[in-house]
Amino acid sequence: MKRLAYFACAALRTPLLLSLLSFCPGEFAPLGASEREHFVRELSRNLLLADGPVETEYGWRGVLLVPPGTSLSAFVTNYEALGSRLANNTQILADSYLFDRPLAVRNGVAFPKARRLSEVWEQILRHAIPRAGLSQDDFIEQEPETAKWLFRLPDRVDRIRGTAPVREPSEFYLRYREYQLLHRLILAGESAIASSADSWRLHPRLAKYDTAEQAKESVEADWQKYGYRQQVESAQRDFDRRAGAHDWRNWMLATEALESNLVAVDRSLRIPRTSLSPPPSEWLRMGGWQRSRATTERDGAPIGFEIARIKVVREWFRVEDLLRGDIRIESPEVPNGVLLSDGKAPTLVTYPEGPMSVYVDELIVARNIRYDPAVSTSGHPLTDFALPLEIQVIGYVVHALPGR
Amino acid sequence: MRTAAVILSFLLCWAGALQAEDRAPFLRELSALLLASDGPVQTDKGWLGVAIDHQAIPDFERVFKVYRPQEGHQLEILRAIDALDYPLSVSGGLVKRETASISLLWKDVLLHVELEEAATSPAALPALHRPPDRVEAVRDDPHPRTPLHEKFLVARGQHNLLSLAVLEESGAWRLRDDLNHFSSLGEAFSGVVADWSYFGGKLEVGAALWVNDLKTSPLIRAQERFDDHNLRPESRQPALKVWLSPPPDAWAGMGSWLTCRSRTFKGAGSVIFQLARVRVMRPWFSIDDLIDKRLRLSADWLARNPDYVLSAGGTPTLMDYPTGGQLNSYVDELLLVRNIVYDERGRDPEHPLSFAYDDVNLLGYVVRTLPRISSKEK
Repeated sequence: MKRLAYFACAALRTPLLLSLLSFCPGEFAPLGASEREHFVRELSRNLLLADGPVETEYGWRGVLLVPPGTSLSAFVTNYEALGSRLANNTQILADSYLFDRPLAVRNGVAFPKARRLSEVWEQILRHAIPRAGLSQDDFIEQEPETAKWLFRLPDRVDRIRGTAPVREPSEFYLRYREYQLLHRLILAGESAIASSADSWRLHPRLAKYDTAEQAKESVEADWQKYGYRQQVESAQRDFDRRAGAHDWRNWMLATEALESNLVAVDRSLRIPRTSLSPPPSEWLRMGGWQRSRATTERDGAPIGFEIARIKVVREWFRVEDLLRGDIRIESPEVPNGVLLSDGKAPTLVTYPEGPMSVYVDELIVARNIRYDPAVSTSGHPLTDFALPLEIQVIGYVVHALPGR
Repeated sequence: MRTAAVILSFLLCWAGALQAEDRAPFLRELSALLLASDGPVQTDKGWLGVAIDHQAIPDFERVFKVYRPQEGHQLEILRAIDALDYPLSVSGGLVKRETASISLLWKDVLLHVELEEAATSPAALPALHRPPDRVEAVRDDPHPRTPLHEKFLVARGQHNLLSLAVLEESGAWRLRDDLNHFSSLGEAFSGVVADWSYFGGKLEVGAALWVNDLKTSPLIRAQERFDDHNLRPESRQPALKVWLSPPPDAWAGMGSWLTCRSRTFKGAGSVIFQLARVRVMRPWFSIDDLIDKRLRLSADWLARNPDYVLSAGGTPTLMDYPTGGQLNSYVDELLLVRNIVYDERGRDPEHPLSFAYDDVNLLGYVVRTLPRISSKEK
């Protein structure tokens, strides 16, 4: 009866709940470190199929608890109001505390650090600016025989006038482009839905062909013969290989990914768009909820709950490029020489240190937490909630980075 | 409201009578719960600890009130912000406000930060600007763009237009003379990107623009953030916006309330209450850039002010925090309590919760203590 009353009161949020609980037997026990560690181990087994952090290609994945009292309610409400879109600026700021900050791990609990992950990442991209010079004009001057397939070189008139064309396409490239566009038009027709599959026939240069296959074969042959395909594509490869271009290109791709995802919160604050999958508007009815059971370390008492994992998606964050070596940092001028992480192997409750040593990969949310009222004195992290039936964030699946 | 005021004045007198040793066990319980530690916990830049504030209730009511849109107006917003805009000193587990506000101290810091050298790449600058010719020099136009830079801007314009066309499912891009030779949007996109790469300096100019973007200067960013959030730009005493998350209108219904127990009557009794934490956010307060030395106080100014101590540093204990600086500690989170229920022994007058009345109460704060920031770095 007491248990039933407990859940009923939790749902109704009445002070009666507290009155009932105050008559529960048991001594006061603050949140115990051993209960916390025990619960993290259970979550790791459940979510990562291991007793602690699991090594991956680039670092480790592990499970950590959020600081008790971490709130989801504000942004769940906002997301529900507007589907998967952020509702207001406060929201963006609040979210960044929940999942867009690197984490400092103390006693198995993950505390958000002061700087945003995006700020640290931007700083890293600044350290990674390629040192090699990048002047693609050198290519035109030093290898005119190759460059002529791509760029218009100065002719006699230009020389007499003392002018030089600035990266104008060559006549070879323009021919190449003609055939390239025809080829793409046919390919687009092949992959299009039935109603627009024959749209290539409207092009005057392709109208004479009976089938798409015929048109494609003919255009490909002409492209080789009259479209300078081999020469132009070879010149493009040479141009891309020129001093530093490869490094610069990878670096630019990473910076573009960051820039193109920035959302202006106000004139001076831009935060990259991070999304949750599934979005909060789906959480109540998503199919990913699993029944789960935790036990207290002290006496093995069961605690039932439902658990779900929410993926944090950051399209702007290409840390794998850095770990793979596609983006390089020659001599980082950073405190202690640690750019990302000191790389110490994590244990269940200790993690590497560094500006970006640990960050959130997934949110772990729980709801319908049910237990015998006597368990409420155990100090188990799941027994703290005043409203145990509601959706609560209980922890993170985190990514810990190797030393760098 | 009147009842609350009476209770409040009574309790304020009472709070003064509470001894530090009465607060210590409760603070230890709160630290264990909220920070997984017996006292202040060291973070990457300073410490986090828990402290109690009995004197904040009148200000707290204002904060609560101004978030109700029908009641809030500019004056109230300013007063409410004042409540959270002061550094704290913590003695005997209780907080006390310092005299100079955080926003004024930060404004002062920004005045004395030196502009860092731009992070330029030797290869980047020539891609953006060419030397002015004789006519441009006469017209005092010092930064003419290179032809490649001009072409870059045109290509970027085309790219942006096509991006918009994708979002809006619009065919307006076909009206452009420079794009109408493409037969589809996808074709136009790939054509424009290829042209931009080879003939529009996408890589060279794009990289140079990113590297030389003044907006990336930590000082300029910090100044802009400060100006943007200053509600009183005309005044010498600034008033900066403070955000609370979750906002007060969500407090009653938020799911993150915790059920907590604390010992009363020196362990003989107990009290059960609900506790919630509310984060205080100051997007204009770039103190971490100062700690990490991305913002540097000017060497000249420091030489003229050898005794300048913004933060004294030092390790806080459960009950007492470092002193000696202008901005040693400040509010990081609010701690709210409600639904306080005592066991059969009743209210313990020596317990810090004995002040509270039947509503959402401000119990205290999670306090952030800064590492040392001074002219003489230890």
